[in-house]
Amino acid sequence: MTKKINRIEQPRQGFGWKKIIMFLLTLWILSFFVSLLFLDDDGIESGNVAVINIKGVISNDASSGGFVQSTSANPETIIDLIDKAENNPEVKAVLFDINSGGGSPVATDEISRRILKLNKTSVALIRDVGASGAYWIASSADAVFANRMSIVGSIGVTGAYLSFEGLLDDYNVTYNRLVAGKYKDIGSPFKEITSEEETIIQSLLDEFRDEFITHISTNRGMSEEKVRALATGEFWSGARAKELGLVDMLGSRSDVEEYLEEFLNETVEFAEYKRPTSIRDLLNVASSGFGKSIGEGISKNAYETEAKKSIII
Amino acid sequence: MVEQDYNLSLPKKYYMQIGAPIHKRALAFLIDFLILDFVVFSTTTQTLKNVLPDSLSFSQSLSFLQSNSALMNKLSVLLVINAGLMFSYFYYTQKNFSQTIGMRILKLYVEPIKKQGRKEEGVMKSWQVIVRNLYMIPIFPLFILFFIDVAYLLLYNNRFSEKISNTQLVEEHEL
Repeated sequence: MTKKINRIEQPRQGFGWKKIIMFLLTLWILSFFVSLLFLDDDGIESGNVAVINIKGVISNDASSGGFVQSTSANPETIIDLIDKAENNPEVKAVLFDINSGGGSPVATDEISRRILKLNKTSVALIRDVGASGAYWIASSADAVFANRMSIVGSIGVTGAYLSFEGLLDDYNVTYNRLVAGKYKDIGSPFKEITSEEETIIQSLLDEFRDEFITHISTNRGMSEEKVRALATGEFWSGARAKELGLVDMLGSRSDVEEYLEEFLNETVEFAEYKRPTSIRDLLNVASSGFGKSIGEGISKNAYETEAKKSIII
Repeated sequence: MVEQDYNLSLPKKYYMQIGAPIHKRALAFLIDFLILDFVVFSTTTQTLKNVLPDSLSFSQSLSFLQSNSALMNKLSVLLVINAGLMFSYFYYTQKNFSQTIGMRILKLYVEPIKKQGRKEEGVMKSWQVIVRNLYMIPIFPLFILFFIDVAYLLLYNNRFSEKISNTQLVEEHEL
């Protein structure tokens, strides 16, 4: 429908190119910052081999935040990263970069089970240490690499705890035991452990060790007897671990790259998969330098304390 | 130096206004969209390229996004914000200059419809500018307006959003 209107000239306001250009410039700057804020770091890079770090204590409680930066491997974060790698059609293989002495059996098992379910090629690369729970995780991968000087093994379970009863006696302090349930205060540091309690804890540790042995045996294709013989808690160099069949190949990341290029028959491009950086993390960066040494001390202390009161592998 | 007021009593110019034809509307919108693509969407596109793996096809990219709900949510919010920036461009230019850059190039103007018996100022009110551009906000049910507008435009040479906002897009010819 066309309307015809005759109209007397009215001076229209000028178009204001300067104002509009300034406005467009403002829009561009806004758009730029909005993009940065929203997608600055989603923890995803482009590449056909996803690299997921498993470093520090493996624990369900592990988190980074506050003023103390801790290096830890949290199963929730790692499983989320594995999910992302699995769902990304560009990713052909996943490399688990391991440097850990173990941690919680539950957290270890959660990560391990997810790796076993992964429907893409998985490779574990042990750096300085891949012991205990970390080796459990490494064994879940299709291939295990280690440096000839890496510390590998420590198949076993520990459940040490502190005992203060002698100290309490010295200071004339009495531990008044009030329990509803015979073994409720089992492992309390304020009393001497009874042989019965020791048997209970030991049987639990043995059960976990058996689980550990079964897992390594299945993953590595080794007989249970052979793994049981190795499951003394002893650790070995990477070179010795290879002789024992705990490691497939000796080498570094570049050797893993060569192996994967040959295996996948394409050029390998590593993509670091990491926990997305939050604003809180950014704020922590400012405090990390200040609290680094303090944090390291607390973190180390926390780990040792944790080791003394709970079962770790 | 004394300023002198010249009154030349030149003959008045007359203009004819007609409703903007569809092809000019489309062209004006395309020009504006290209400008906004460069100003607003280029940064988003670049960020998307960084986030999405290079070698993925469109369908693979879609499935990748669907499997990353956190990323998908972020992108949705980003889309709404970008649409808001786009809307602000149309609002600013139409409210202040009665035309966008695309309309300027094609000599089109946005005018309030003068109703008989009512005194109109010839300047659009804020609500009119907002309503006529609501279709570009990708939030339900506003984006439905886009499809209604296209259908209405093909039938009546006028957008539905223009009808409800009492505005019209015209082109002027000097008589």
